[in-house]
Amino acid sequence: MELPSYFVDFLSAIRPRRDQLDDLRDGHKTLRERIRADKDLSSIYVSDFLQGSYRRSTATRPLGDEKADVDVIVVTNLDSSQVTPDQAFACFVPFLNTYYQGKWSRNGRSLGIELSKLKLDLVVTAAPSEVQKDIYKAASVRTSYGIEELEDWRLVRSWPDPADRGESGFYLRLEAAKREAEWRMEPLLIPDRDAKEWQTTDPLTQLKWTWNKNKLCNGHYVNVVKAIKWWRRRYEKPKYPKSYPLEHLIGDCCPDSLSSVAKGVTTTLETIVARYESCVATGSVPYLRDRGVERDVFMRVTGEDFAAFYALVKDAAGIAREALDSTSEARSAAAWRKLFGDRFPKGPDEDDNDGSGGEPEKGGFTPRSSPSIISGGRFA
Amino acid sequence: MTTSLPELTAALRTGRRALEGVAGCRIVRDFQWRKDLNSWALHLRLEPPGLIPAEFVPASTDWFLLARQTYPEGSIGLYPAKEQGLAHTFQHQALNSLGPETEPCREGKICTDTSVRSLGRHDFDEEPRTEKARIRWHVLRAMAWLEAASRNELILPGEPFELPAYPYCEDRVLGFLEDSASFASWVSIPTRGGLVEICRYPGNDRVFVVGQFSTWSGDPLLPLRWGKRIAGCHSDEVGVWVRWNELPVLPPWQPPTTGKELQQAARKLGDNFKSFLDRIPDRLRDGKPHLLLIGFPISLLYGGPPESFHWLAVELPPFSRLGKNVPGFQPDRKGCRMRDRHRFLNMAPIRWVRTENWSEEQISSRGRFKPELRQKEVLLIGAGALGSAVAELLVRGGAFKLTIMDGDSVKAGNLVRHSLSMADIERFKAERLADWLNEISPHARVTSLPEAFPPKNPETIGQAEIILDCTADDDVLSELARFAWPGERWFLSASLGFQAQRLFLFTAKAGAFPRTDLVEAFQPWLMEERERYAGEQLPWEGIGCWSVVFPARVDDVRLLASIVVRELERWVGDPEPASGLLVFAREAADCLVRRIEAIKNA
Repeated sequence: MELPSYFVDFLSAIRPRRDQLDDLRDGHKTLRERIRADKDLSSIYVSDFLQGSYRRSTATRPLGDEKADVDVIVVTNLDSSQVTPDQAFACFVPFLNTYYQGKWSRNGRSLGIELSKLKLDLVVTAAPSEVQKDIYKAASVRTSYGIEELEDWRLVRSWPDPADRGESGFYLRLEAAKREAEWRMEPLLIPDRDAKEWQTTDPLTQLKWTWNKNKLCNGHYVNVVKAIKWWRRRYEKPKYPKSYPLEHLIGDCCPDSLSSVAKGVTTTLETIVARYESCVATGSVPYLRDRGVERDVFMRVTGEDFAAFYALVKDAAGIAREALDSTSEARSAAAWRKLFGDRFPKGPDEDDNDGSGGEPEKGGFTPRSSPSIISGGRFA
Repeated sequence: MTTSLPELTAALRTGRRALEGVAGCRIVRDFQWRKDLNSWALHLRLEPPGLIPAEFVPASTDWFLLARQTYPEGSIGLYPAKEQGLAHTFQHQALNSLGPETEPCREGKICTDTSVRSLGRHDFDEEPRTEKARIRWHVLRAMAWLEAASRNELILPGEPFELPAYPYCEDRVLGFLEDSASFASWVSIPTRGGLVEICRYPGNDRVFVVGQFSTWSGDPLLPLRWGKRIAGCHSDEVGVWVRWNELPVLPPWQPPTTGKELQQAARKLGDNFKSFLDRIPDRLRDGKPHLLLIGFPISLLYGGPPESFHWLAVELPPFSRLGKNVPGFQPDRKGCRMRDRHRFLNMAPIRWVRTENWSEEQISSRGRFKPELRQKEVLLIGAGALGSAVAELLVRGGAFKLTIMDGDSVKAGNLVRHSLSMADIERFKAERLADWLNEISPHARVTSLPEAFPPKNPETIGQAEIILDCTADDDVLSELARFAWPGERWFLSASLGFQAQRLFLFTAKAGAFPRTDLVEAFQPWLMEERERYAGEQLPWEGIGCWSVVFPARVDDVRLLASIVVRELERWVGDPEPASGLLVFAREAADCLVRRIEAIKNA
């Protein structure tokens, strides 16, 4: 059974909490405002925007001591042929020491800021072309709204940020946005893993791709990603794939036009199993091309890891299929719970005595099998 | 920090998940908080598998289930959605009006609670109140309701008849008196319409009662049967009445809400409402609104024979005045009638005034005494603490014909255990008590004799069958024995022992009061009381006052007064009523009263 309302409740238990989202929002807003206002950075600053699972609405709730994190990209006009990634980072050190003294550090390709409740990852880019610079300043790119919150989103100049909804001209712009042709994005240059060289990346294409997919899937795609990521977290080994590479794999294998999260999870897992059987048989790792750039998302995944991961997916696909095909609410819920753990709501038990057992009864008459809570029957 | 939206609770989620297994129920949209309704609204689509679509019931209907933030506590109900929901009013449903524009659902909440028999429940099969089960129970009942509605079986023969949900203005009520006796009268009267007196209840401008019905020319029909208070009311308004064969309703069970709809409903019953309006006499053209009473026979049980008349009331706008010049209409009578038709028989909402049948039977469903006690006339001698408490119990329980006899006046010191109040001080207990008791029920017929027994005029007490002595006065006992009673009487003499620890009840059904028997039976008890309370000091009336008062608290007096009435009821209902002394004693430790002496001689 698809149990849509069970999935609604499961997802609300695994997505970041409202207070965590509020903290993230406060964190990135403050950082971005400070960067924009900073006099030293003003000569190199072009724009900033958000990327990452937080923006893509595919983030799952941090547990225990984990902190929620959000990625902020700062687009600069630093010439990549003149300036090394190291030097680009150096531009930001004074800023970081002013506002985040003792809380920041170099994290390979980014600058990590660790605050009490969240983490901010600052990624510095080199200059894009002049035309692209304009694009990066548009509301369509800079909006803080996540994928799930945007009913419509077009990478065009006139697209208005929903935050400006009250302002005059908002709806005119929205209408205009529908008619404009979307930009062609060019890749951005960001530091590579060791910050030695510039590397191409295309975060906006990734974002747009996710948004489009989610729309095709009636809003279920990002939930399928969250659900499968949640499942993935139950297994420490293998180490990879996880995070974005996992999300990318899900994106490739998730069918378009879904009617429910349950169906999406099951079909995605089964597609992974079918598609990469031969890969696993030969001990190799599939090549997954990133969106917008020629890059292997699965670069860091070893043959061993992938095989171990594949085995987990195979098992999971079996359980998901069982859960989906089951016609009993109790058995279906139990199977989903086996897959996802106990954040997935419990189904009705066999010995439930308040009438919500598996099969629907005729007329809803509730047979009393054991003492139920007595109410009413008192007169004054 | 502004007040944030309430969060959907785990309880509501659990309740909603329990709908997964329900065939025919689909969730269109998850719970949304509706601020103006102070509720969470769940948009459902119901398609009961067994439902065969009928005239007003399509195969698929949309609903909003409204639940409170405190779910599983708090109210819960299903309301038809404005789009794709039921647009009519059925039985076992509130009036299905559109309601505020901002809300997605109509106001016609359907009756999913336990009292609806046609949904296959028994009266005591209770609604579950757990998180898991409560929403689901209501949705299943809603589907059963839909199925019953499609088969026109929302109300089954043998069930109590239910009137449609007329949208009464809640600012007043109009009481009328109809029962099987008046029904028989109506059946024999051919008149179909006329005038009726409407009386305002003195001191309460929200209460009106129906007075005398008469023909158009003012000839009275049917006698007035109200109790003393209402019969004494002055009528200051005149209404009109019309009689139809059935109640006015539009299918499926929708009360008319406009003049036009009322006319439609009347036409269905073969009545010509227009020509009725034409008969309004000129004197009602006085610029004031008048009530229109619509009467029709109803049965107590659905499908059963008609047993009573019921009245509905509509407040008509003032009738057009003769001689007034209004563009488009002649100022003569004909013109007035045309204007009235135009004014009333249109799409404007009509004002239904709430009516209630206040016949004895109808307003005493919460509990009354047995007929053997109610139907006898009572003479109560002694309107003191015990007497006044007994009197109130008798009248509330339905013994309406009561004469109260007592020559004393109310003193402030009485109020600690008497039923009267400060407004009655220095007035005759009997008179004030009778006035007060007549306000208790529309059927009370309490009279007073502010004198000691025996009455100056013996005829005044000739009719009473039950003689209740609550004086605890030895002289009264002698007078009762001396009095020439016109026939057999039920005598009951009640008195309290010291500190109201004991209740003494002496009963005798006889033609003459058997005083010697009573005195004899009492002797051992009086001696015992005297011994027991030998050292006790009786309280004084007050500082500077030499008279002694009899100690007894109000709670004890009331407790024992209830026993007097209970025993009286039992005794007069007994096919072989015994005569003799009963003694009840109050246990000090708990509130028990036990009978410690049964009647010795039968």
